[in-house]
Amino acid sequence: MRFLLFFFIIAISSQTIASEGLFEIKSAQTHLEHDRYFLDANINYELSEESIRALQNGIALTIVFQIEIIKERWYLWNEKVANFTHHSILRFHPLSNHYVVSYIEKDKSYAFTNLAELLTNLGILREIPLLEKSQISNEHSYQVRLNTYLDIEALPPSLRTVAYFSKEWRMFSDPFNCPLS
Amino acid sequence: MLRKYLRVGLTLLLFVTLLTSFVMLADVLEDSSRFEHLYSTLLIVSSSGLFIIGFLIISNLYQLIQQIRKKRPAALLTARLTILFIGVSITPVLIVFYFSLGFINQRLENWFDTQIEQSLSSALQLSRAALDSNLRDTLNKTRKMAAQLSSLEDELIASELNVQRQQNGVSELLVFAPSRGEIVAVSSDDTGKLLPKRPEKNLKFRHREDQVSLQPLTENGLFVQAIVRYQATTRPDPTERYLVAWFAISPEISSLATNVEQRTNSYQRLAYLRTSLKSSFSLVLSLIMLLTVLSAIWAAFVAARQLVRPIRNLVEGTKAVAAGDYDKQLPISHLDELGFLVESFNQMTRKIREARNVAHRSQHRADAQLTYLEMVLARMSSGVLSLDSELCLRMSNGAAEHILGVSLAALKGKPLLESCANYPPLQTLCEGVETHLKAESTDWTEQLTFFGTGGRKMLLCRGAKLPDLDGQGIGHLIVFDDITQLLQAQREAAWSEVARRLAHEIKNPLTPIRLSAERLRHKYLADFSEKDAQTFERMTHTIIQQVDAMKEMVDAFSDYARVPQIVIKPLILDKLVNEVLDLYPSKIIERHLKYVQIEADAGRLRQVLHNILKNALEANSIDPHIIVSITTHKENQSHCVELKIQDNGHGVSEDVLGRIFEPYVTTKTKGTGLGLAIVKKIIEEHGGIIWMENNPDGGANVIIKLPACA
Repeated sequence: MRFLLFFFIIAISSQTIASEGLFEIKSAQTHLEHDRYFLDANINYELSEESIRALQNGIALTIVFQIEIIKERWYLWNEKVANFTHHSILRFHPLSNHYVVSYIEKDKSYAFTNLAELLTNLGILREIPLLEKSQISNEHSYQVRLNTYLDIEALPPSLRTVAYFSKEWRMFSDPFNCPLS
Repeated sequence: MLRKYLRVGLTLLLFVTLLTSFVMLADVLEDSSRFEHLYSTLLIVSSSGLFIIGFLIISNLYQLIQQIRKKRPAALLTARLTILFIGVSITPVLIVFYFSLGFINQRLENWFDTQIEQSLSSALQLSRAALDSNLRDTLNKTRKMAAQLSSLEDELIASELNVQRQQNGVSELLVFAPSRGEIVAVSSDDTGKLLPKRPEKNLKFRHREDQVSLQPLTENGLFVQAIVRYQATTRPDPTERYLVAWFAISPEISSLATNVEQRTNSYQRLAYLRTSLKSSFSLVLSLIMLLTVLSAIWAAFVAARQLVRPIRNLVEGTKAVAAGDYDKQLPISHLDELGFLVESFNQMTRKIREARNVAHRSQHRADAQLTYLEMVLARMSSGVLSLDSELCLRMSNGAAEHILGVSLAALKGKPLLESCANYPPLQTLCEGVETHLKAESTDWTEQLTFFGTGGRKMLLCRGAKLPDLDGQGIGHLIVFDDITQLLQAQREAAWSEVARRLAHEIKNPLTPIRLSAERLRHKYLADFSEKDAQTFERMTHTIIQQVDAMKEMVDAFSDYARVPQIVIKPLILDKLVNEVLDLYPSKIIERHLKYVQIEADAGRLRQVLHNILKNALEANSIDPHIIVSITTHKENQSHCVELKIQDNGHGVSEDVLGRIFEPYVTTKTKGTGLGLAIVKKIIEEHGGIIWMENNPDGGANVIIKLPACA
């Protein structure tokens, strides 16, 4: 529901306001290791001034990284065979002047003394497990579709209404495809 | 009914959904985490609900405008009531909304006091300052420990770390060799921990300078991490080492600093969200206001419509009744005053309908009676005239027109006595009855001689007073019979009796008288002298001649009185007429004949034609000219033949004209006066009529009308 809502709002707002494109997936590739596919990706995360101001004022920012495995078919439309979502929450600790990123799925947190360093580390994704080889059919080719965006629905409710209609808060990447190999 | 319940149910569901959404929205804005994830959904649901209500209102408004344009009953009243309801309900809502909005903004502004903000900021800076001295001490201690470790071999570092840790109150010490990427030694006060705190990837020892920082990620209070780079001098080539030390901050300071950080963080968060909070509260309040306003507008439409519905029904019902629809029954939805009014209206229409039905039945009966009366009157042989109190002709029957020989349709509604002046045929009748009508005689009888187009007629009139049809006066009824035929028949019967008795009483002695006269002359003529003989001869001859004359006259009487023995056969009239006319000089007779077939006795008809032609020739003995014509007519659904013989004589005087066909009525010096009487008798034996009329150009016309074969 939240994703639908997000894309709905994005679709509406993109009609009137040009997207900022602050997030960019630079590169991505998969590799097979021990009968499991892994993903490496490099993403350029850049936050808007308003979002940085919100972060420094105690607002947690949630960045979603989506991975979809698409089976290509010559008939009908392609089939989505797997979907992985990774949530990263960014916080600021005023006492220590540290920026902290928490990987929800990994249950790990890292602290950084500056935001640029955090975003750099956040954009380096290595060894993200995907599907086992047995789950992949040799008769079909597969594409990995990547997508990352700032989750507006994770913002405080009072901020969401503003965020949906402000380009300062609309931070997302264009979809990035790479073959599963 | 089901549709109504469905509509009401959907409406209630819509309002309950919207109210629930608003309650949940308000809950979310109060920082509740229960419905936080539904915030955007709730906004969309609420907005959609408001759009639906807005659509309902537009739909209702459109319907109302259409009703006003089409001038539907009570549409303007509905509009007025709707506007009134909307005005009454919206005004307080808008006032409350205005003050609520101001109140919310004021309260939110009050939350963020600048003094509190400064205090919290100062507290945070104070905490940082307190911790900074701690950090500097920690860094100094770590440097000293690093200096101690720099002269030790790697194998001895572990034991020295334990000593240093205990001496300096360090939670954990770790020596890292970046060249090898491994931990050289580690010492921790947590003996249960198997693995040391591995330097994280962000501390990749890129910095050449020593570092000290407060670590935000620890669970057991605040820790200070110090990283000091030193050179291990025990080897020929100095090797780079890092000493990483974790110092636990005292629980009191840690708790206080954390508390200050949390409060400051929370306050900054709220301060940052102040604008958006105001927007959100205003948005939710606006949505609630919109819901209230739109609901009030929609309810105004519904309430006005419901309130006006009985009135509209009454208006429509009244129009229907005015248009003659008395079957209209209005639905009674409520047993209130309007319901009572509607019930009264229904009772009224029921009674009107019953009265109308009774009137219809009465009218139907009256029409039937009138039709019956008209049929009776139409088939009566007596003429009937009905006059109102103003002596205007109200009604007449066919027999009256037939007897009077005029069409009375044009006289209906007009005063009879005044109209008579324009209708000469009626003058005799009017003169005859005028006295009785003006005298207002109750019952009267009068025998009148009437001169109409059909000739001279004898009318027996009877009159009576009648209540006028409109009940406002006394009318008159005049009934009259044509007794001409009756009187004539009586006269003819008397003449026939006279003729028969004459024939019987006179004819018998004539033969002995004649025979006696002849015998006298035969027996005694020779005995007389010549002179006496001549006298005797002359006298007996006179006796014989007069007896013959008397015998001829008695034969004529006998013929008149004789019962007809006619033989009716189909014959072609024009052929018969031609045969008769051929016996007369053709130059004096003009023929206008046409083929027509009748049923008659040919011999008797010849007798009629000869008699009439003989009279016509005698009418102008110097230069006779006779026109004989045959025409056909249709009268009273039957065909008739009209044979007309026109002469060029002097005509017949008016006083004789009416009695010309009676016995012993003649204009000639000779003759018995029975010729035309016999003619009339023959014609009547054939079911026809005969009359004579003077021609305006001179001469007389004898007209015979006989029934023709179909």
